[in-house]
Amino acid sequence: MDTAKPRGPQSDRALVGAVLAHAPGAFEALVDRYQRLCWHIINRMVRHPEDTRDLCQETFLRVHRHLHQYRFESPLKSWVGQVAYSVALRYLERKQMSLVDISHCDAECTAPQLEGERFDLETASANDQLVAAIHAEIEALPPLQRTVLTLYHMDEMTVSEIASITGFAEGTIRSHLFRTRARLRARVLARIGEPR
Amino acid sequence: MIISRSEWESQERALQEEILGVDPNPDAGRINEYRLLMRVLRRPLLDPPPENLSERIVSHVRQPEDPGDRFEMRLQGGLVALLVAGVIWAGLELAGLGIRLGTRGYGLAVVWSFLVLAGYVVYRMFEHRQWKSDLARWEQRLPP
Repeated sequence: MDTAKPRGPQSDRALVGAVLAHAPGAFEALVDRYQRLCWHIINRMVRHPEDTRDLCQETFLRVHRHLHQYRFESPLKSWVGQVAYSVALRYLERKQMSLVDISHCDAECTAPQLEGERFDLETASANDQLVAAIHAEIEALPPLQRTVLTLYHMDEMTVSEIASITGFAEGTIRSHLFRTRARLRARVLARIGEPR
Repeated sequence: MIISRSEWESQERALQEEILGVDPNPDAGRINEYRLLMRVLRRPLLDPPPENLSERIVSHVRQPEDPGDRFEMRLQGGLVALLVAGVIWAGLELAGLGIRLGTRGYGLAVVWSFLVLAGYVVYRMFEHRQWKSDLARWEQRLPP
C-alpha cells in the first residue's frame, strides 16, 4: 500500500517544491501518493462512498490552496491526513453525528482470563459467519474508533502519527485502541458462545 | 478505563505475530483470540476508491475560480466587517459614549436597522453559496 511506504522528508520537500513551482504532473503525483490515505480516513469516518469522493476532492482542494503554509514540521502524510480528518469532522458536525462513544466499558471490555484454554485460530478465521460478525462489529463502532483502528492496522501508522492527524493526545489514541480491541474481543467471544 | 499493561502487550504481540505470520501456539488462547481480531482488522471491509478518483480530484482542483464567486466572497467579507463595526457602534451608543454623527435621538434605531438588514443579506448569501455548492455536487453525481 502506497501510504504505508516509508517516505523521507526530502521526498516530501521535493514534491511540495514541485507543486508550488507548478511543475507539470507534480500535483497529480501528490494526489496519487496520498489519495488512498485520504480515502481511508474519510471513508471510515463518513461511511458513504459518494460523500467520501466529494470530501476527498474538498481535501485536495484545501491541500492545493494551503500547501504554501506547510512548514515540514510533520511528514506530508500527516499534514494531508490532518486536512482529510478535519474535512470529515466538519461533515460529521454538520450531520450532527457523534464522533466517539464516550460510554465506559469496563465491565464489557474486561473479558475473563483465558490463559491455558485452547482457541483454534485457523478454524475460527475460516468461519465466514464469525468473520462477518466481526466486520459488523467494526462497522458499528463510532467514527473515531473505526478510523483509529483502520489507520493503525491497515495503514500501519504509529500511535504518534494518528495522534498528529486527529489532534488527540497519544495516550488517548492508545486508550481508544486498547479499549476498542478489548471490547471487540469480548464481543467475538460472546458470539462464539463459549461459557467464558 | 485504565490500560492494563499485560492486556495491551497481548494485543500488540498478537498484531506482531499476525504481521510476521508466526505459527499460532494452540495453548496461547488469549493471543489467538486477538490474532483473529487483528487478521480481520488488517482486511477491513472498505469501499474501494473509485478508479478515476485521482483524475476527478485533479480536474476539480484545476477548475477555474468563478469571478462572480470571488466578488461574492469579498462582498460577504465586507458585510461581515460592517456587522462587527455596527455591533461595536451599538455598544458605544448603549454605553452613552457614541458619537452620534448627526443621528441624535435615532442612533440606536439606525444601528439596529442596519444590523438586521446586513445580517439578513449575509445569511442569504451564505444560503446561496450552500445552494450552489449542493447543486455542483448533485451535477457531479449525474452519470456522464
